[in-house]
Amino acid sequence: MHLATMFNSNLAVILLILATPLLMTLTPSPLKNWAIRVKTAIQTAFFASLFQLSLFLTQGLHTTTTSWHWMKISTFNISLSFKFDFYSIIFIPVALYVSWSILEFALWYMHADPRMDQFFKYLLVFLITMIILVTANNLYQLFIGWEGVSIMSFLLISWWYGRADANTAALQAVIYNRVGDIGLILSMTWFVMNLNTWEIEQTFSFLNDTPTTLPLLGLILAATGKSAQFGLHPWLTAAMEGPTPVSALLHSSTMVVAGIFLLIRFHPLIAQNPTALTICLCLGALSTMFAATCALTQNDLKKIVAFSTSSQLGLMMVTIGLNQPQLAFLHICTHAFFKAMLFLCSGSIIHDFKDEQDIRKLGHVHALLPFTSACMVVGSLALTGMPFLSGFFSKDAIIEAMNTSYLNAWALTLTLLATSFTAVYNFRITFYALMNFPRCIFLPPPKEDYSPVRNPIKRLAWGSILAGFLITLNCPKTETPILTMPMTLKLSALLVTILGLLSAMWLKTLMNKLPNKSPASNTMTQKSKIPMDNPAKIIFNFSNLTGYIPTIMHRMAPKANLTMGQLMATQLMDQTWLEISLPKGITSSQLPLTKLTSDIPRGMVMTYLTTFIFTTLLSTLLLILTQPDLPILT
Amino acid sequence: MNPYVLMILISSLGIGTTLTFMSSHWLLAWMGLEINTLAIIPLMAQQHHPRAVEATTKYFLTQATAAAMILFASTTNAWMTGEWNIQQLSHSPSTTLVTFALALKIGLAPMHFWMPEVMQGLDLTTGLIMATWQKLAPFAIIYQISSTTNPTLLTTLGILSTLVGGWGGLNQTQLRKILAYSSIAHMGWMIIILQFMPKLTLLNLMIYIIMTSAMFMMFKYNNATKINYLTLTWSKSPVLATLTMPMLLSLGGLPPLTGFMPKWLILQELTKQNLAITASIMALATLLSLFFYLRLCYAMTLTLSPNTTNTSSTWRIKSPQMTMPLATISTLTIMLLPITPTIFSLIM
Amino acid sequence: MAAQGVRWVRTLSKGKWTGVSALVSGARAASGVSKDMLPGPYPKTPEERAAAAKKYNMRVEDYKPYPDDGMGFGDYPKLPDRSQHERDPYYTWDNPDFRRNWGEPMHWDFDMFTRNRVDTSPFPVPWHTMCKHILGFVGFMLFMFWVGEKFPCYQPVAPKQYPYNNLYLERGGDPSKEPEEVKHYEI
Repeated sequence: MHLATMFNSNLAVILLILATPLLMTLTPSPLKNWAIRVKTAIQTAFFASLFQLSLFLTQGLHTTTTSWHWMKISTFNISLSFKFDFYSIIFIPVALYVSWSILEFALWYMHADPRMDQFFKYLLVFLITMIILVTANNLYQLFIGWEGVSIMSFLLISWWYGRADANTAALQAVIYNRVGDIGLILSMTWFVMNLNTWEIEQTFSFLNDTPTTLPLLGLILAATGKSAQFGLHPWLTAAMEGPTPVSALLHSSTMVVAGIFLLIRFHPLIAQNPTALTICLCLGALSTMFAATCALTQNDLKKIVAFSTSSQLGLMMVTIGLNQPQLAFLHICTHAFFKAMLFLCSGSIIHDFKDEQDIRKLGHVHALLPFTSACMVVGSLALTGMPFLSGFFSKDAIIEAMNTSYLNAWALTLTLLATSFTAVYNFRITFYALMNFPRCIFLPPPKEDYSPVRNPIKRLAWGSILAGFLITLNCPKTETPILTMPMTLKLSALLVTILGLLSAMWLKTLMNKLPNKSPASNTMTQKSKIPMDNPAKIIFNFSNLTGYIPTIMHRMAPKANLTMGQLMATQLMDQTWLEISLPKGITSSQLPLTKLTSDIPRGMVMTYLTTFIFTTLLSTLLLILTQPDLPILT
Repeated sequence: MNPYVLMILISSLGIGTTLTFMSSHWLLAWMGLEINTLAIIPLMAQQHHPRAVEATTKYFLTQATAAAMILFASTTNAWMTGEWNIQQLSHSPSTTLVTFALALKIGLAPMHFWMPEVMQGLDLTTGLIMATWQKLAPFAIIYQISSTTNPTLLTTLGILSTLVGGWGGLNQTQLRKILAYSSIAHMGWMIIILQFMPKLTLLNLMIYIIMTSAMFMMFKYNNATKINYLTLTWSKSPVLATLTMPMLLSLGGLPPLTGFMPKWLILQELTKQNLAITASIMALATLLSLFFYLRLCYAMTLTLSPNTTNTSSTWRIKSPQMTMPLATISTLTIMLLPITPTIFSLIM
Repeated sequence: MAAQGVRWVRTLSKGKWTGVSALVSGARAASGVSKDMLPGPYPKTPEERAAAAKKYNMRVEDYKPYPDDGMGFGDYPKLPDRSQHERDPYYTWDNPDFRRNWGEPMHWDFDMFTRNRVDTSPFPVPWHTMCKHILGFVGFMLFMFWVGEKFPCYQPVAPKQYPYNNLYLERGGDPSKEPEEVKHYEI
């Protein structure tokens, strides 16, 4: 049948629909209301993508198609090759659905921005590159998508380029991602050199006897950079400097999940390599724990949500380490819905409270913005894994898979701890920002009944409630066998979450005794050192100042680099190479000879003739001396 | 100058050189050289300017010395071997003497001193003849005696000339002197290859004459005798200013211009003869020349004169000078490289 | 260079030849720093110091040149290594992006201390404490992962068990035959 053709060409249709608004900018007279057209294009593309999804769900079609030989370097082929399997077919509608909502929200959020059309164009390109990334079956193609999301994230994070902080955040995003790219390029090079292919499918078939630890380490490094795992994580929270829709898109369906997605794509390789699995597991556990700890003490609404993303990405990494890529993927999809929604809700709150994002200064939001608050609570519950919201289906399955696996005990402990922390920081947001009495200066009462605010949040709320169920229902569960286990084990995810919640509520009663004065807010003005006299304060500072990692890394590394660069440029290049050895050196060596050459003549005929006679005599003499038997005169 | 006299002088100039070309007898060749010298002397001095007269005197003295030496050496050779044929110059002291005499005639280092100073005293047209036509007769003889000359001597002369040509030109702001040093450097290239492949000497001479003529004509068109006059070239003839840059680079021997052709072939031939070091020295010495060609380019096309002109640009006014020869020769200067195989097979 | 090109194109397209003089000056400026823009020689006498301080718009008390060790600093003032983070964001600077006033001497490594590069502002926690804590944290984590690897964790689990002799009849077993007993375990 032609089903397969229709199935494969669906992506072309989606990309065409998405590219239409971009192409329309090329018209000599640009159209008005460009931003709305972008939103409509994404909406249409979402509905178009449902066709492929339904074919997949009914017929179970999944294909790999190679469309075009792009270039050929001796025996090495680079082709345009797409892979439509479970992952990409589920991911594209999810990404389009979430982006549709986010862009509609941005119509309201960015309405006063003079360059709104450009902003939407950027968001659109961002999404397109992500789609290129997930459908790629060729590493080169994947690399294009990979770099595309990087560069677009740079442009979007530094959207308010007048702010030095936004520029810094964008630079951080780019630089941390370049560190990750080293890993990806290393792996690509390895694949070319050892396997002579960049087709992802083909790499799996060669690998029975080749040691793959090196390329896998490269891939894990790439994922660490892109998905902000421990060590390369600071950029993710700094990226909050961008506009809220950017954060929402960046944290939900694009960019950060690309790293995890890469590992999912390469899962057949990782599954064969216990070292790589262990590294993923430990790295993920460390990231999820660290990010959750940092989230506990932050006071910036968006920052807490950002750290929760970081924590969830750690959880996805743990799942990769557990050898359960499908669960990781499931978590990517469910996480996209409620994380996007949390960001939109925070954006809405921040916007309505005139750019106030400190949760200590908010409060009573539930009465002022009841709808947003309700959705925020739904999102928080979904994030904590409240049964039968979408987060539950992925998170519970992950915890259960952990509990039933044979694995590193410390990784398990950390992950469970991080899971309980999820409850704590979500409770904290709810308690501080939504409940209690207002702690802000009263402004004209905020309104939330604009349809571009309500509709996207509502759609995402439906997604947060139902998506997990729907995807789980249709997900072929090949990797997780159904097991019998003790009741406590089965309920452990819920138990630790409830435990976290209870402890948070208990801590709330002790609130006044906690060292809640943030040291970070004093950075600028107060030069005195904060007390570090008891363990609680040490831990609090560590968590509040995000483990000191940004401070240490962002002060030491640039200083060392720039100082070295300056020394190289001025001392080595200017003073030594240019001044002593190369250009100036040549000048000073040639100058005396030049002067000599131009000084000798002096305009005297005598000089001409004398040199002539001397050279002639001298060489004749030499000739005679060297050839003694020469007949001079006979 | 009276046109009849001028005509007689110019035809003698031609006849002297052609006489040398066609003679295989030393005496006749010498006569040709002398006729040639005597014909150019009045042409050089026709301005009656003290500088021109001084230059003429210097030229006469050096050429006369060289000619006397040639006569002496050929007579000695005839005395020793009984042979007047140019190609039969088998007596080695005579060969050395002739080589040096001819080196003085064409201005090879270290007998080059007269060259820049004489050139500086002449107007640009005579300078053009000086730098091109006057090289032909001596080279006709050099080409014929090439098989008998001392290789060490030729290599020394060649390298020294290229170096001196480079060093001398570095310090100059006078265009005619720069061209004189450029000529010395090119002579060095011609001499170094003489012992291995005399045909290449001829090829190089041909290309050199084309390129130098182009430069002289261009200077003539602009009446430029100093570097800073060149900065106004753009106002006089913008297209020529643009074209001069590739012309200068061609003179410096950069691909893909004509000037690259002889250098390429010569370096290849030297390398084939296992003279990699000599080839490297020659190539590096040419960098010195390239520097002052580049300086001319810089002055002419990369910078503009700091003053502003109040008059309208002179390129709007049609020049009374003939431009056809300049157009032809500058095209040749820039674009001959692709037909290297043809030229090569032509001279072989 | 790009700006120069734009000026070229504009001038040419407008057909205004008065712009040529501007181009001329631009062409000359393209040659780089002039001799006058480089720092002068190292000041040795107090008078020279005073002159140099005046040249750099500083007070003599504040003026302190780089050590004269042949590194080409000359009389350029050695300013404290303070980043622009430390400067008051609320002051009305002449150039608010760079937080500097006109005529103020620039640090030799000015580029290094802009706001999105090195930050030298005081931090509430001392540097060595920070390093100690983060190294301690990472070290502890690595140690515990090692321990966790030595003593891995696994829970008792079994394949899923179903009632009615593991759904014997429901799975299409022969009702006439007596199904074998399936023992159910309690974990």
